[in-house]
Amino acid sequence: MFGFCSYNESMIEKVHEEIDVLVLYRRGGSRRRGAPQKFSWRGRVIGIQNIDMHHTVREGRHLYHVFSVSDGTRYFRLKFNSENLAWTLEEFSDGLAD
Amino acid sequence: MDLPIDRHRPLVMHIDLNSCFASVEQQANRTLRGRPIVVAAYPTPSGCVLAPSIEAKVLGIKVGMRVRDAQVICQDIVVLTPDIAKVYAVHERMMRVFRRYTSDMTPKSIDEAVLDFARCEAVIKRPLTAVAREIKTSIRQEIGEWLRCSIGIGTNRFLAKVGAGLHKPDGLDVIDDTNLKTVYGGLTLVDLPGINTRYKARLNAGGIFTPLEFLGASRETLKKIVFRSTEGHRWYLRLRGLEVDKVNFSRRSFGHSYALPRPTADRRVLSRLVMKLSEKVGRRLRRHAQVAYGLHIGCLYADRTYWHTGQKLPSPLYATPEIYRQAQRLLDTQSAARPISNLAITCFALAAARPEQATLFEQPHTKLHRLADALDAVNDKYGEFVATPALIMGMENEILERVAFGKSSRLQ
Repeated sequence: MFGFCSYNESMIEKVHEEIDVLVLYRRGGSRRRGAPQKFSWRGRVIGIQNIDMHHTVREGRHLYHVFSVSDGTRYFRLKFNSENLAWTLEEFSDGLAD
Repeated sequence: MDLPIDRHRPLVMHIDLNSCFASVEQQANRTLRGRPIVVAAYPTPSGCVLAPSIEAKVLGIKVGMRVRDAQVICQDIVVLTPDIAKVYAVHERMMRVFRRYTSDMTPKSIDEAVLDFARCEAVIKRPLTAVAREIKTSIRQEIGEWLRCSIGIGTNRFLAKVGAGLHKPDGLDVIDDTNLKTVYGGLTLVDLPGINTRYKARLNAGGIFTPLEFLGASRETLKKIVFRSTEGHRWYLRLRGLEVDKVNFSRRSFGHSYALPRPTADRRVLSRLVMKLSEKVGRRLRRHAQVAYGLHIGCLYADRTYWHTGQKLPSPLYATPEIYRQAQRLLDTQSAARPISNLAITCFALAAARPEQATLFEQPHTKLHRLADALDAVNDKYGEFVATPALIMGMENEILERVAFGKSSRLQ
């Protein structure tokens, strides 16, 4: 009757591509001192309007910082590898099924 | 002697993050906000719904439903699987907020905590409802604007939890001697935390059909006729707002279960699953520096029948191969090999792993235990299942980490 989570799979696109990111590091007491501001992906520069969540994931000795961000309408999941200082775009969604 | 309802100032607060797993996903991904979504154990049609969003609950989607049933109610429902790291991050931040208000804070599960202000009553000059509103604001401002919690305040943990369940989402209720009977009057027996259908049947058999009748029952009736144990005495006190649940239970077992996507009786497949479950249980056992003198195995069959067996052992289990061998031995005692749909392994009879009794002559198990520690160190450094028994190679995406509904050792 229904597809195997077709809606979910088409809604959140798994990307896993290395990207260029501009990060602003602030001094002082703020708990999140470094925050991504904009990044380029597929030839476009995307400005980050909201950082909706930041959490860390440890995979063995590697510590990753995961930022769930939005440009106002779309969702992006950015992952920062604190070992090699590389950024990847992991997921993208515009909120539409197709 | 009959006891009255507790008339002290209510100083216990129960906080419950509404639709935790789903709200956390909506917090992270704002394109999901305002939509019916579910977080399910597996995204397959037979996957179990762990957390419907508030929007999905409005449509009638409930915890425990199958994904296919949720899709019948809402064809466009978004189905996600749990992102444990994200939920733990929210849990840890919430607990940090709560600790600002009292040091007597107990996490009850991934999305619930109890704050006891009894020992700091002197410094809490303002009403606890004001503190509760401030906590709600702090959660929204510091953790995520989409996160809502329900808060209950009572004279004991039980009434605080009842209060937290009265108005979801985003509720705030105080239960004290002035409104306790009114609150009970609006509830059914199974609305009370701790009363399941079995307990309800027991109460019904004792002539108790409503929470008000439960409250009105004498201590002797509850103790000798209904519960036939001291549990009846505890319920007598609990219902009146007296504290009986401030108890810290130490861990008595480590277990892990797996719902098979396709039921099977194939020994090769089951043997690989037993090994992976043994490795997961063993990792947790060793991380807590424990050994186990008992092992239990349980199987739910495709025909919904259940079989289980356990055994106490003369020598302790510590390394994964030891757990695996014992689990296999127990599994082999099944009377008939029927397709299994759910497999669970639990280590019990725990004891401290160290200091190990020194021996003049090295025992065979000493080497095995050292090897287990070394492999754990490798996996700690390079990631889970980097060094694994050959039997479970290629099973990285099977038997994933889950969050227990109740108390979990990772909670802080």
